[in-house]
Amino acid sequence: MSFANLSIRDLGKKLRARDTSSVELTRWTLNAAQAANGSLNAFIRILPDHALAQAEKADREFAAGIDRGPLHGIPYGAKDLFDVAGLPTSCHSRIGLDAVATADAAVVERLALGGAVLVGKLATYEYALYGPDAELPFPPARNPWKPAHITGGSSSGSAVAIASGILQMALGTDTGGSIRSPSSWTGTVGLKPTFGRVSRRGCFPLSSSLDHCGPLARQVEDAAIALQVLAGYDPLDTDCANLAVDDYNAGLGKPVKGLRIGIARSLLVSASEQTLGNIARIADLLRAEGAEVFDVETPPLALFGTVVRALLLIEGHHVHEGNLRRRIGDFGPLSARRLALGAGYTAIDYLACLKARRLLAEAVSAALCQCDVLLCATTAHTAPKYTPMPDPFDPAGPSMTNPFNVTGNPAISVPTGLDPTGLPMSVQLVGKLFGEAQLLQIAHAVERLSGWTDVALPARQA
Amino acid sequence: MMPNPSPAAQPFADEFDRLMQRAHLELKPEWREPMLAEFAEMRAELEAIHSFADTRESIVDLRQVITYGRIEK
Repeated sequence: MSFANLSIRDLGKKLRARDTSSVELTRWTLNAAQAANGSLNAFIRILPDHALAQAEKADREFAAGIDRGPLHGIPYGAKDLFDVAGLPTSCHSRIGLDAVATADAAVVERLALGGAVLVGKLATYEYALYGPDAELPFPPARNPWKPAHITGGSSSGSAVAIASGILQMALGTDTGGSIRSPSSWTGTVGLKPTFGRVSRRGCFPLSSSLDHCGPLARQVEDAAIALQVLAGYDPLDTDCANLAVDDYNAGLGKPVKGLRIGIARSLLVSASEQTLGNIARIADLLRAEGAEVFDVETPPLALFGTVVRALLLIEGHHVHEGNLRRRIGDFGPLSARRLALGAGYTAIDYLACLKARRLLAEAVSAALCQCDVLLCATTAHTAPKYTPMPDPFDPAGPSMTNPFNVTGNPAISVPTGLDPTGLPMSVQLVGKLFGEAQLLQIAHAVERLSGWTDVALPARQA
Repeated sequence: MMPNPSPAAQPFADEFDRLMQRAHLELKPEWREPMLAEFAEMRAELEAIHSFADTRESIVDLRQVITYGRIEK
């Protein structure tokens, strides 16, 4: 029996109807992960004992009438930046190989409370910074659609495990687009929640003012289910918002008639003709459903990028300062060069970046006063071919995701189809602060209208 | 022997070396040229950031979390 084509909701129905057990589902997932890992490198570490113990517990609880919610008994994976007690949090780095966590990350705790089953820790770029870099202790994850093309990152293993049909959901982090970019290039859904919506406690930081944690998923509905479990206040994360959590599934399937969609045209300056055509197609589909679609003004894309690069390098250098001084040669060359550059900024530069960031965020808020969500691109084009040492300033064109790390707004990458070469295309939707419920409603409509739900993932094509 | 930086990066070479030494970083010789080019680009980007930040003369409270006080009605 294959579980590859089922949603989290479908799997939950089977578990509750006793059509299958969490142990059976978990064994299937572990076997699929092990079989695919030789070619796709999605997992740094597969955890059969840990996973089967959690699955057996879930089955015992179901038998006793205990139901922990929609992720109960469902396998998931965690990017290897998240702490799991007793296991190393390698961050895909030589430096982290022996860094054994003493406690679970907040989101791992939440998923355990919800009965989810952790099957493994997933590949990333070194410290979520930059890649793919072949000079690391683990190989880079490969794109299941076309292995010669990169996955994007840094939540590369999370995206690959989902796109290849192994998992329905995985944890990722997003500092400049690290959930959304690999989602775009692997045909998965990537949701970066509002800054402060999901706790970052126990997640290794890259840039504390820009880091977000969130789910990657097979479908928008799966992402909504995951966010429902992940979201919430954590007093031990000082940036976590003490706000009520909405019902993220309530709007799924509701019509988009009358909703206002603003196309952020100035953020599309580097988009390919194909990407622009895809945006226009989605806009037309939404108009046909009765949504109002019009252009809105935002600041220029390049300005967001300059602010993100500076903040990321300054804060990243601060995080790694000790290891940069003592053992810089143990970093991969891409990370070492990038992190070292953080020493080239002054305190005045840093404060100017924070001020510029605030001005940019206010400008995006003004745009979001005119509409319900912004529509733009996740990536300028489909997944590029792998090159061993891409130019750090232009790995795949300017980032179209990092504006919303600057502003903290929730943003989601939604797959919308395949290009003529068979690579996934996507759009990015951006919501109001803490407006994930409406964002997911519109994302769900885009997923359905685009025809993506009829596209078979590569594992299913084989 | 350090490789010679590109002409565009040359004006920044002394400053770059001084900052890396101040940070106690032992860079591999082959990293210097690409890093210097990135440093030059970084400096140009910082000019843009400072200019943009200067467009607001009033004080901005930088201690607040980025979501604070923003209205998106």
